[in-house]
Amino acid sequence: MYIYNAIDQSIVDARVKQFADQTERYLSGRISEDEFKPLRLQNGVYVERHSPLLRVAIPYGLLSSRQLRMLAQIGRTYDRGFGHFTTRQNIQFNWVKLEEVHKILADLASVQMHAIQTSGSCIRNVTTDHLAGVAHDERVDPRPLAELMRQWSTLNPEFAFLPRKFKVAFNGAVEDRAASEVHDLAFDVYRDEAGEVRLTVKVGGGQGRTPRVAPVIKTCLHWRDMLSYTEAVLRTYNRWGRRDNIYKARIKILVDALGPERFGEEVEQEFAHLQGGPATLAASELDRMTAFFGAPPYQSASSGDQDEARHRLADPRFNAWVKRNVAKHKRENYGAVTISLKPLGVAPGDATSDQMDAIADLADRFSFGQIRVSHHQNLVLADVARSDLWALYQALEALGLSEPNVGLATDIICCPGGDYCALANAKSIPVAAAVQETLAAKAQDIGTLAIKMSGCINACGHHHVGHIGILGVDKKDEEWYQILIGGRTDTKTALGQIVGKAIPREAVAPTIERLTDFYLKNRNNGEIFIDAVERLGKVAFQEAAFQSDTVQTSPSPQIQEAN
Amino acid sequence: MSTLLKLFSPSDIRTLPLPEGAFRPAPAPNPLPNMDVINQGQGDVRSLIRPNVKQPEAPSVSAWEHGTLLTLPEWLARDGATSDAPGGIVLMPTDDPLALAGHLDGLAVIAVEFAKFNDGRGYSIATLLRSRLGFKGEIRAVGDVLIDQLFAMARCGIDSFALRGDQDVAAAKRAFESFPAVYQWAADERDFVLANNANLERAAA
Repeated sequence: MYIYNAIDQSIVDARVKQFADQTERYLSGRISEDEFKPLRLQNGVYVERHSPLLRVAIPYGLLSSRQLRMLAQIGRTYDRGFGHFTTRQNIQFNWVKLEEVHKILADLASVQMHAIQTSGSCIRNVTTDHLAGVAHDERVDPRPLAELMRQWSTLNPEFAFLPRKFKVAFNGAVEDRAASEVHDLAFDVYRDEAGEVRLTVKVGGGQGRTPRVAPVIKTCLHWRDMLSYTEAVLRTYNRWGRRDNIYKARIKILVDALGPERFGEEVEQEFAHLQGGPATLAASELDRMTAFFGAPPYQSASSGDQDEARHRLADPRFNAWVKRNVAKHKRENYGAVTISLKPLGVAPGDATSDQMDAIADLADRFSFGQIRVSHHQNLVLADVARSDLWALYQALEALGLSEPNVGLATDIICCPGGDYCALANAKSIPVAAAVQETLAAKAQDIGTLAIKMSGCINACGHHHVGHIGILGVDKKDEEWYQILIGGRTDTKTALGQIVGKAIPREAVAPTIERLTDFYLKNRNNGEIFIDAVERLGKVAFQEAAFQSDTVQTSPSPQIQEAN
Repeated sequence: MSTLLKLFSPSDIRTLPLPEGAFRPAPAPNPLPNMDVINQGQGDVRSLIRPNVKQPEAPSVSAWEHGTLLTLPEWLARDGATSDAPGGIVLMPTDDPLALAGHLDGLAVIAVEFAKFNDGRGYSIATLLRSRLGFKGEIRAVGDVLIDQLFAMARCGIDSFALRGDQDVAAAKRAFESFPAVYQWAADERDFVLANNANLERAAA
């Protein structure tokens, strides 16, 4: 992984000092509320429903065991003994005190971490595939480019006050595990016939109020020009993006207004001035970065997996865990293990400090001391020898972290919702819990099914790209929920559509169960839920779920997202 | 009364008193923050969101120490008419700085309007004035010019700062040294971390 040099460290240390000073001036009345707000946001500090919250950057989701232990310690010292992993591969602490944040930042800086630009109208934490570097279907490991982007975007002076937030994602594999096409700026990384790393650039994707799949605006971009081109995109957005209405300020609205072609031409005109200029990366820069992400000292392939087969036969739960939680690794004798943070009865993505410490120990024992955070809000040990799977499984079982449900109906992506968030229309966590409980017994049978839950239209829970999405809406101060089906982000990206009328909280889990029952009754052999939706049509599913008299629906014909 | 900071380098900053009309006056003093609201959370804020953001209509300054600041249309309407006095203009966030191509003669100062401190268009405007048009004169930040944005403004090629009336001058001078190093190229042409061929050659020399 990337290791800070003295310069990186000096920048992060200076940021801690700067924020301590800003906080002090705010608390003594020398900075106004309005003027302090973007300063704290650019350091990841929100003021939520019941407390300030600190969001810590985990660049492209990669952590060392030492860093994870520090997160555990921060959870214990400054929060209530836990943290929440987010859908952007970050972690947030829900119960911090504003006057203590600078101390947390200093602790983070001591392990080469920070909270820079984890919120605010600026370039946010860069995300990518949680299996980067080990995925069997990978074309190019995107992490070196993601790190270059992280550095370039960090404290970038020209783009510190964009019209709105700006999220960048990289995908370097056949299956897009980074949901890149619902980001403001997405790069598909590949090698051309000459072996040069090149990028396909997509702009203006996103969820929220105006969900969009990002259109391609540039192909065959050489990696050396990545930052110059990004500068051209951002300058175009910074100058021409709308600032008169915060709901219309994301880059997707500008791309929509001009059309992708016109927008691409604007960027191209700007890029013509920048190509070959000072943001052009030296040829050695990719090699320098790639060296940080080299393969660990893997064992040779000779170590067999006879034990794995024997234990799988003897222990059906272990068998299910291997099937669901262990992803194929580019090396045959290794597996990428997902530790599900979605057992029943726990808010999706939460981990206690004790669990974090224990997972850090397991990473040291079994996976070269590294952990990844997935945007599904799970943790991943990406380099586990298959001969260690049984031992790792047993250790996880003892910690209550062996839930064999990765990619299943109970592996729900869920935002914090009305329990924490000051913007939420409805609670999310209890709804996710009810769905998990209802589907738990059938989940293995149902198989792959992505359920994603957001408590408001800002879509932090990615409901637009769930095979089944759940959206909390507010109707005269009451919580109602709309169901979407048909979204996906894998080898193709599609946005889900609202089906049926809004329903009250207690109807959500039974409605979803009717959707899955309909699927179980009508599926073809080997066909997963989303493929059945595409074959049978959303209407068929809607009728199955909503024709019943038992569903109490909203008095209004349909609660739509307010545009 | 307010102060103009003129930045020659972070260790060489000169101050100049500014006349009325050349800076934004101090707003009403801030109330002390309510720590109960902050550390106990602010509850449901949905009803507090005001989606519509008022856009600036007129520049917040009309003068500099050597006279009046013209608007971009006024300057372009002069159409090369010469004058002995050094010229000054103010660019609004919606103005296109590239319209000044070929019209920079006689222009001593270009003020960039930061109608609100969190309107970032001024950063791109200053960057284009320096890097695209090669403007060598003074670029001045006017309007909501606050301590915490000075570092980024300077990086974008702004070299004078008409501080808002309430800003602490000593703290403002320190702000230019907020960071000991920077990652990326910007219009100030300061050395940066990410390697391009030019700075690798410089390092090797």
